Amino acid sequence: MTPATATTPSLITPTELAGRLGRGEAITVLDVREGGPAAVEAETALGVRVPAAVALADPATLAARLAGPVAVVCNRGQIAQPVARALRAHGVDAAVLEGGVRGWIAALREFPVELGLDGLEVRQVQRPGRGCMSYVLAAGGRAVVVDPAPDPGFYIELARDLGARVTDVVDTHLHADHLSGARELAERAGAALRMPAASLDRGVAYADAVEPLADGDRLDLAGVELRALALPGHTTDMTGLLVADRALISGDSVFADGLARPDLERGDPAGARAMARLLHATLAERVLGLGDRIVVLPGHDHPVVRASALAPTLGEVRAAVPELSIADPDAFAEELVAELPPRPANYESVIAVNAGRRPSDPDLESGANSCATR
Amino acid sequence: MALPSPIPPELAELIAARLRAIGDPTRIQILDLLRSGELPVGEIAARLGTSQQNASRHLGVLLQAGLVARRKAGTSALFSVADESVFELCEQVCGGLEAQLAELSALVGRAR
Repeated sequence: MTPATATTPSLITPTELAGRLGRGEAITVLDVREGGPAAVEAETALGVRVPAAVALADPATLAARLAGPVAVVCNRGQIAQPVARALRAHGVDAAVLEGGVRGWIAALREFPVELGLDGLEVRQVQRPGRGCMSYVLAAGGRAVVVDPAPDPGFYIELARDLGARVTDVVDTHLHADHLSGARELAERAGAALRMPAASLDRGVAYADAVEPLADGDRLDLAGVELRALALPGHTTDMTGLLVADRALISGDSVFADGLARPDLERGDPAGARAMARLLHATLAERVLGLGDRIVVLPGHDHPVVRASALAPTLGEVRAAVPELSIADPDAFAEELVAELPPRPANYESVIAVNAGRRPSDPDLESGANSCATR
Repeated sequence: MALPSPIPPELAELIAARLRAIGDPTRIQILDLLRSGELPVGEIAARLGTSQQNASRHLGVLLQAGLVARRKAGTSALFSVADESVFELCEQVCGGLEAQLAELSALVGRAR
């Protein structure tokens, strides 16, 4: 326990907390909400849950149990304040996580991905509170942003740091788990908004503003070729981007240690099985043939604070995902639908917002993404 | 802490919730396993001879009661005891139980 003084700042921003955990600092994350899944995940984040009422009833006993720096987490950063104050009065180095879980799930961190291509800068943008990934590729003063989170300023600034202007914004599919930041970013940056042509077939209210991306379409980024690769399975419109045949921005198809779930577009059992068989064909015919050395840049991760980019080779992914070696499409489909986790919160509403069919509401997003089969 | 008297209803509720969290044989066994240190959920399930799902459910109750702590390592979660005082509580209860058991076996012995 570090003696806290009145002058020590007692707020910690989500970015600061993620940064300290990313550097391997051990921090106790005291979650004072009444329930809900773990909020802050990291190898060095020791999660302890004590409801605010309990903590406030007897802060001395709680203080005696807590070691090292403590981040107090609640829903919006309010009820954590008296808890942190009470703990500090008992000598604990406690700070309130600013904005609570709401603030945490909005935090973004960026890491370089080295593809060995001269003049091309690739950044993976991680959202540790939710496990959503987006990408910024910059070359020759232009930047392409793929699957942005709803924080346009972050991507515009990141592109600027890379000496580029955002000229193209791409969504790999109609997302079901998070609000897309693509439309807003494209508007703010004056960039082209590109979506798979198949997304428009699912019904997009702002289709007039979209440049459709069909399988095989090529985007030239200062001599670096980005090629659209239809990867249906998770959804009918899921489309990846091949980066100069070195990397695959895989969206929700194959992740570092799992596969995309097949039941977010058609939720009925027969529909989910049909989509799973479609994913099997996609993986067998369009992904595995790319070779073990290609770098997979996935659309999701587990919600966790990392110290670097998550960019395994396809060979590493094959070793981590046993389902990739199932040859029979039916057996594959059965395996995939056997033990699916609950669908993402509000997923139908989130799809409707992303398709422009209903107004946005940040409260639709909560907790971890659940786009993977495990 | 010194308990106020009378115990206000809110505090009584909190105490009861805590005792409910401990009041389950599987959860007592889990706390016992964690006495020797941090364990992943799979290991806890294996040692208890139960499913991972069942172990996770019980760990969730213990977590919610502030009795265990959790951290993420790779794809699994590691659990540890967050509140060592729970063992004192168990021992106090067990001390009483031992006395009862002794009495019981003495009675049983006499009846024979």
